[in-house]
Amino acid sequence: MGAVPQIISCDTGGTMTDVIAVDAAGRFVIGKAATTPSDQSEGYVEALEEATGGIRLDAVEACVYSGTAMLNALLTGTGRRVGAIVPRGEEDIFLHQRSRQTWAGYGYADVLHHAAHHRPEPLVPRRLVKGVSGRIDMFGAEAIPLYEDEVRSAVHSLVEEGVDAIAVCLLFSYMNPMHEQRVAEIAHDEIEAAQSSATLHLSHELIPITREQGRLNTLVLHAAAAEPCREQLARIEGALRERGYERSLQVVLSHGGVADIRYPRLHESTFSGPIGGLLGARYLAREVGADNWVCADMGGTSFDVGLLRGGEPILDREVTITRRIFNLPTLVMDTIGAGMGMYVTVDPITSRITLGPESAGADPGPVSYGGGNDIPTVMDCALVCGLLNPDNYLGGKVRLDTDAALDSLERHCAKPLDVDPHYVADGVLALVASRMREHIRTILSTRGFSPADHRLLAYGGAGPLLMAAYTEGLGFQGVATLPWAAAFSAFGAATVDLTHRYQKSTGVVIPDGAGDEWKAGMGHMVNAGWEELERQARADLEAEGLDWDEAVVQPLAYVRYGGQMEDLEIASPVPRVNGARDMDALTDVFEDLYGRIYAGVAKHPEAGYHILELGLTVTVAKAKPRLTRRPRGETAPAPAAVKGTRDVYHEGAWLAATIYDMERLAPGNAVAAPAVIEAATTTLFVPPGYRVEMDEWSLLWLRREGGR
Amino acid sequence: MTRGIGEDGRTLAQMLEATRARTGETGCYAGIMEPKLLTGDPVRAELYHSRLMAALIAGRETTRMISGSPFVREVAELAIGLYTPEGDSIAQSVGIQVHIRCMGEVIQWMIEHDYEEKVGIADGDLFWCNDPTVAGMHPADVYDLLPIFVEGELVAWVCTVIMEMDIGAVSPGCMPTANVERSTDGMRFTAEKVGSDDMLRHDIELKVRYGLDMADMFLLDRKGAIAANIRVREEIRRIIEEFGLDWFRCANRELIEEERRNQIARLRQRTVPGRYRNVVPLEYYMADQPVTWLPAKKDHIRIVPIEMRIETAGRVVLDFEGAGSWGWHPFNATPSGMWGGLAFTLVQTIAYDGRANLGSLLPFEIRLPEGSVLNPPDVRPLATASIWAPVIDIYSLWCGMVSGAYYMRGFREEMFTYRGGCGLQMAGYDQYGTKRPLLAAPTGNFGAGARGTGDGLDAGGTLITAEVDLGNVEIWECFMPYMDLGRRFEPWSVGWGRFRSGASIPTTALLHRSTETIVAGVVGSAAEFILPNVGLCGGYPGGKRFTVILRDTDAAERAASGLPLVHEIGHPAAPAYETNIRAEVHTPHHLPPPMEVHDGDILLVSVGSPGGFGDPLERAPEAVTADLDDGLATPEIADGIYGVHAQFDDGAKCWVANDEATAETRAQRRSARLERAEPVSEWWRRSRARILDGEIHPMLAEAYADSIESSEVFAAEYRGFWGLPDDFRPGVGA
Repeated sequence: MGAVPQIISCDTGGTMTDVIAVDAAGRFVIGKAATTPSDQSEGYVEALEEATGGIRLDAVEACVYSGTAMLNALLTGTGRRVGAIVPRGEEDIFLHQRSRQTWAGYGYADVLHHAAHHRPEPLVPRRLVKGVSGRIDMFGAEAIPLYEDEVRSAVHSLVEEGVDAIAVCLLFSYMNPMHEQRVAEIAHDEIEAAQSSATLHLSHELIPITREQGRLNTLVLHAAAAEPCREQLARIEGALRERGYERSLQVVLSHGGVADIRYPRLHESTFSGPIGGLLGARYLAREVGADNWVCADMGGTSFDVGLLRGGEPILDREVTITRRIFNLPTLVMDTIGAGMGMYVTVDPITSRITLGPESAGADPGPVSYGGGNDIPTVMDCALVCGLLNPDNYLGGKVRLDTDAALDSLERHCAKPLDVDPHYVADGVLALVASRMREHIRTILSTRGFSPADHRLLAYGGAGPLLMAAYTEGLGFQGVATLPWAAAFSAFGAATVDLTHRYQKSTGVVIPDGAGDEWKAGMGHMVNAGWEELERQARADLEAEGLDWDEAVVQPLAYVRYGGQMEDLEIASPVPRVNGARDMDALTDVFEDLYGRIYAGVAKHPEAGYHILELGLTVTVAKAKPRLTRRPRGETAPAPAAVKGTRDVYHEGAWLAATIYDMERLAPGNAVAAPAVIEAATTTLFVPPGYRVEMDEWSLLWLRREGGR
Repeated sequence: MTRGIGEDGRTLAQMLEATRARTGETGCYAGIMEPKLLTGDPVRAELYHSRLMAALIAGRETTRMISGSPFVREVAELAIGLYTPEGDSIAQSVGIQVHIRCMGEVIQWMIEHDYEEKVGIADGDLFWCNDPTVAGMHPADVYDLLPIFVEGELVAWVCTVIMEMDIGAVSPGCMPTANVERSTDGMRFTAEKVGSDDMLRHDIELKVRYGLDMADMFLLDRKGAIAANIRVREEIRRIIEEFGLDWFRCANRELIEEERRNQIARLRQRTVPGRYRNVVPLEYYMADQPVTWLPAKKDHIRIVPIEMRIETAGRVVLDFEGAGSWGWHPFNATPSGMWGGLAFTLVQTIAYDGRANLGSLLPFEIRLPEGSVLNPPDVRPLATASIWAPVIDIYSLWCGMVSGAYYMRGFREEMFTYRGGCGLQMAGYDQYGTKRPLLAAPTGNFGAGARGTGDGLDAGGTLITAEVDLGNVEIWECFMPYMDLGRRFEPWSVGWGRFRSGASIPTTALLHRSTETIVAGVVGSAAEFILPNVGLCGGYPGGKRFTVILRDTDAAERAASGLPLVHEIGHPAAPAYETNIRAEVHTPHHLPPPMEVHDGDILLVSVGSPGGFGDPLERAPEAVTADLDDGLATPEIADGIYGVHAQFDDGAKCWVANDEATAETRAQRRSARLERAEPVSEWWRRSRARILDGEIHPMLAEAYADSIESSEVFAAEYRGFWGLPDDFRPGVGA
C-alpha cells in the first residue's frame, strides 16, 4: 500500500477474519487470520497486523467492524444468561417456537420430510420463562389489568436463579407499552432490593413491531449477546487505540447502516457479515454509475444473492437465520446451498446426481484437501476439470490432490451412473451453476424484475469461477468481478455511511373513497409516528456525538392494500403528510411500485390502503475508501501476466486454456477464451464464447464474444 | 372436425383418452416404456426439473406477497402445480399438496365436459373451481387454473390452490357441520371461466363482492393466485424457448413415468410386502344439529376397515371393503378426496425428495366400495364441507400401517403417525363490527407421532401440511374477536411410550369485543369416543380430543380482582376451568350444535396427540426427568405411566430420577401385568359370549350391521372370526 491507512474494516466470518486497510488514494491491503470465536479481538489484531504491517494508526479516520460476534455468542451459549417474562400462558414459547422453526431454513425435500424436522435448542430454558397475567388487546386497550404480584414473583424468581438479564415481551406492547413499563418499574425495585446486576430489556423499546415470536427472539438475542459482543468490540477498539486510532470503532448493522459500538440497539449488527458485499456493491454502483445490481457471493457452503435497486439494497423486516425467526430489519441476501464444499452423490433409488445439502466445510474439506473426506465435492469437480490450479490454492498454502478427487468421483458417482468421471464433474458444475442461475432468476422474478435491467457482480472466493455458467442466458446488462473478490465483504463494510434505522407499528387506514378530512387525520397519525422516531434518532445521534444538522432524514411508510398480509416499503416523497394531497402522493408511490412488481390483475385499490408500520432512516456521511480509477492501456495483457497453459474439461471436451495472473492484469487488458485467470484467493474461468476485459476501476467484465 | 388446441391439432379429449389408454395397456405412464430423454442426459434432465421447480416456487412466493389471508401468510395454506394438457401432475410446490391430484381432476372434468368446444379454452382464460363434486376436499379450497399456450397449442396448465376463510357457507363459516345439503355449502364455482386476457371478469368480482362477507380477502387471494399463475406461465414459455417444445412435451411425460418407477423402487426398498390391516371408526352426531333435511338428524357410527396389500413388485392396493354406507352429513369422503389424502400423505412420508407428481400415485390402487361413506352414489345433493375430515382420520391411521412396514425393514427413524385435526369455528360480529365467519387455522398445535428411534415433535406434525405453523397470536387476534389465554403444552395429550408422541397445544380463547357470536362445528376429526390414535409396538394411545365451552363466566370480575384465569386445560381430574373460573360448563361432542357465546366466554379445545412407540416402562428415566423439567410430564405421569421415581433437586433446579426405586417399581409393574394376562383363546371366548349376548353399544351394533349389510366379504370375515351363525347380526343375534 505504501501510505498510511485511512480506513480499516473487517469481516469476521465463521472461519476467517479479513481486515482491509485502505489508504487515502484508495489503495488497500488485505490481512487474514483465523477467527477466534471466544474473543474476536485476538484474531482481529492478528489480521490487522498483517494488513497494516504494524504501523501507527493515528491518521485513520474510521475503523468498521462487521461479523458474526453476536450470533456466535447466542448460538454457543457464551452470551449472558437471560430470563424472560411473557404473558401468562405463553411460557412455552421457546419450546414450541411457533412450530415453524422445526423446518424453517430447510430445502424443499427436508421441509416435506417429516422425519427430518427438529427444533433448534430453546433460546431460553423453560424454567427461566415466567408468565404474568394481564393483557393489552389488538387495539392497544387494556383488556386485563396487570397482575403485579405475579410480576414481583417472576422477577424475584429470575433474580434468585441468577440471571444476568431479563427480557420482557408482552403481547401488543407495540400498541400500548403500559404493561411492559409497569413490569420494568416493579422489576427495577426487585432487582435493586436483591442487589442484583441483572439488566432489563423491554420489547416495545427495542423492537416495537408486531409478531411476537420474532420480537421475543430478537429481544433475547439482544439481552444475551449485545453486551458480551460490545465488550469484545471494546477490546478491538482498545487494540486500535493502542496503535494510535483516536476515534470510536463502528459496527455495520444488518440493515446496512453503521453505528458506534455504544449504539443501544447493538443487536441490529447481528447479521452484518453477509451483507458487507452488498454494501460494497452499493458503493461501487455509485462510483461506476449503474443503479440496479445483482450481488452474488459464492463461498464454501452457500450462494448468497442480494439486490440493489436504484442503487439501494432491499430490506426484509422478518428474517429466518440459523433456523430462528427474528424481527430484525435486514438487507435481503437470499441463500441457497450451492457452495464449493457441497457433497456430490448419486441417489441409490432414483440414480439422480444429488448435490448437498451438506458441505464438507473447511474440516475435513473436499477430498482433494486430503483431510480424510472420501465423498467428492463441487470443488473436487472443478479441480478434476482443471479449472483450479492444485498448486495455487490460497496462494499455494494448500496443495490439492487431483488424483484423490478423481478417484473418489469415479467410485461414488461415475461408476453407479456408468459414465465418465469428467462427464460427471463437468455436469455437476453445470448443475450447480443452474441452481445458482435459477436462484437469481427467482429472486428477480418474484419481485417482478428482469436481468436485462441489472448488472451482476460476482464475489466471494468462489464467486468468479462459475460466473459465466450461472449468468448464461439470463441476459444481464453486464457481468463483473474484481481482483479482491475474496475480501469484498470487508471492503463493503468500509464503504458505509453512518446510518440508523427506526421502526414502529401504527394503524393508519384509508378506505376506498376516503375524504380529504379523513386522509388529513390519518396524516396526523403518520406524522406523530415519524416525530416519535425522529426524537429517538436525535437522542441516539447526540449520544454518539454526532450533529443532527448533518443528518439526512428519510421517512418511510409500509403501505399495503386493505387486508393484505404483506406491504411494500415506500420512501415518503414528503417529509410530513400535511393534508390529503400529501397522503395521495404517498399512496401513488405505492401504486407505482406495486404495478411494476406484480401483474396488472393483482391491483386492488378498491380495498383502500393500510399503513401498519412506519420507519425512518438518518444518515451522516463518514470517510470512505476511494476507488482508484486508472486509464485504460493496451488490450493485450503484459507478457508477465501470462502464466502458461492448462487443459480444462468443459462441456464434454478438453480445451487448452491460457492461464493468467489476475494481479498482473491492467485496465484495458482483454483476455480471450478459453482462459483461467488466477489470483491467490480466487479463480476466474473464461469459457469459449466469452472474453474478459478490465475497466478503469479494475472491474473484470465478462463479455460475450461479439457482444458488448 | 375442427382443429384441437392440443398437440398436433388434437383435442384435449383425444389426448386424455390416448394417455389413459396407453397407460392402461402398458402399465407405464402414457405408454413410456423407458424414459430415454431423461436417462440419456441426466444432467440436462436435472437442469430441466430444477427450472420447473424454480418457476413454481417463484409463483408461490408471488401469491404470498399479494394475498389477504392469514391462512396464506401465517400458515401457508396454499400450493401451486404444473400439469400436462390432459391434467396430469408434473411438478408441485410445497404447501397443501393434497390438491395436487385434485386440481388435475378438475382439468380432466373440464375436458370430459367438452370445455374445449362448448366453453372455450384460450390463452389468458382464467378458471376457478371449488366444487368437490368435480374434485377436491371442500369448497373452502379454491382452485385457480390457467392454461399455458405456446404458438396456439395448449402445452400445460398451472394451478394454484388457497384455502379461504369465507366462501359464503351457512354459519358458522367455511366448513359448517350443521349442513347436510349442497345449497348450504356456500358460493360454488364449478370449473367456471371467470376471466380472459389475464383479467377477472367484472361481473365475477361483483358476484364475490355481493356474495361474501370477506370479499376483499377472497379477491386478494384470487389475484395473488392469478398473478402467480401468470408468472409461472411466462417462465414456462422461457423454458420452452430454451429446451424446445418437443423436449418440454416429452420430458414432462417422462418425469411422471420416471417418478412412477422411483415410487416403486422406494416402496420395494423400504417396506416388506404383505397384508396390513386396521380399522377407522367415524362417528357422526347429527341428532341435535339444526338441519332442515330431517332424515339427517341421527347419531351413528360407520366403520372403515383398511387393508393395505403391498405386492413384491412394489404395487400397493388400498382396499376399503366393508366401509359403512354414506349418510346425510358433510363428512362423506369421495374418490377424489381419498386420492388427495394419499397424495399428501405420500409426499411427507415416502416421496419427499421433491419429484412427487402423478407418478407417485400410479403404483397405488384404491378400492372404494360404491355407496359407502367413502364413495357415495351421487355427491351432488350432499354437503361437502368436510370431505377432508374422514380422509385425515383414515390416512393418519394408515401412516401407522406403513410404519409397520418400515419397522420390519429397519427404517425405524422413518416411522410416523398423525392425529386427525380439529378446531372451533365461529361466526358473528368481529371486533370491527362486521358479521362474518371466524376461523383461525394454526396448523402447528398438533403433537407429532412417536418414531421408532425417538420422541415425536411437540407441536410439530399434522398430516395436512409439512409446513406446520402456529402463526403469531398478534396476527390471529387481528382477525378474530378473542384473546389467546395460552399456548401451553398439554402433558396429558401425549401418547406415552418408550418414545412418546409430541405434546399438543390446546386452544384457550377468551371472547373479546364480539357481539352476537355463535360457536359450533369442531372442524375435522370424526373421532369422538373411539380413540383412533393408537400407539405402536406397545405405545399408549394419545390423549382424547375434547371441547369445553365456558359460558357466562366471571372472567371479568376475576381479572379485576387479580384472581387466576384459565390458561390451560390442566389435570383431567381437576381441570383449570373447574378451579379457576365460575361458568356454565359445556362439554359438547365433536360436532356441537351452534351455541351462542359472548364476551368473557372461554373456548377450550384439546386436540389430543398421536400414539406412543414401545412400552412406557422402557422409557429412559432421564427422558422422563427432562419432560418434567419442561412441563411435558407431571410427577403423576412419571410415576403412574413410566414407573419413574423422580424428585426435584432444589440446588440443581431440575428433576432427578431415583434409579433404584425406578427399577423396583418397573419390575413390580411387569409382574402385575403377567398376573393380569390371559390366553388369547380365553379373551376370544369371553368376547364372543358378549357379542352373542348383545352386549354391544347400539350405535356400534348398527355400525357393524351396516357394514355386514354392505359387504358379503366383511360379513363372512366378521362371522367367521367370531364363529357366529351365518345370519347373525350384531345387536340382534341370529
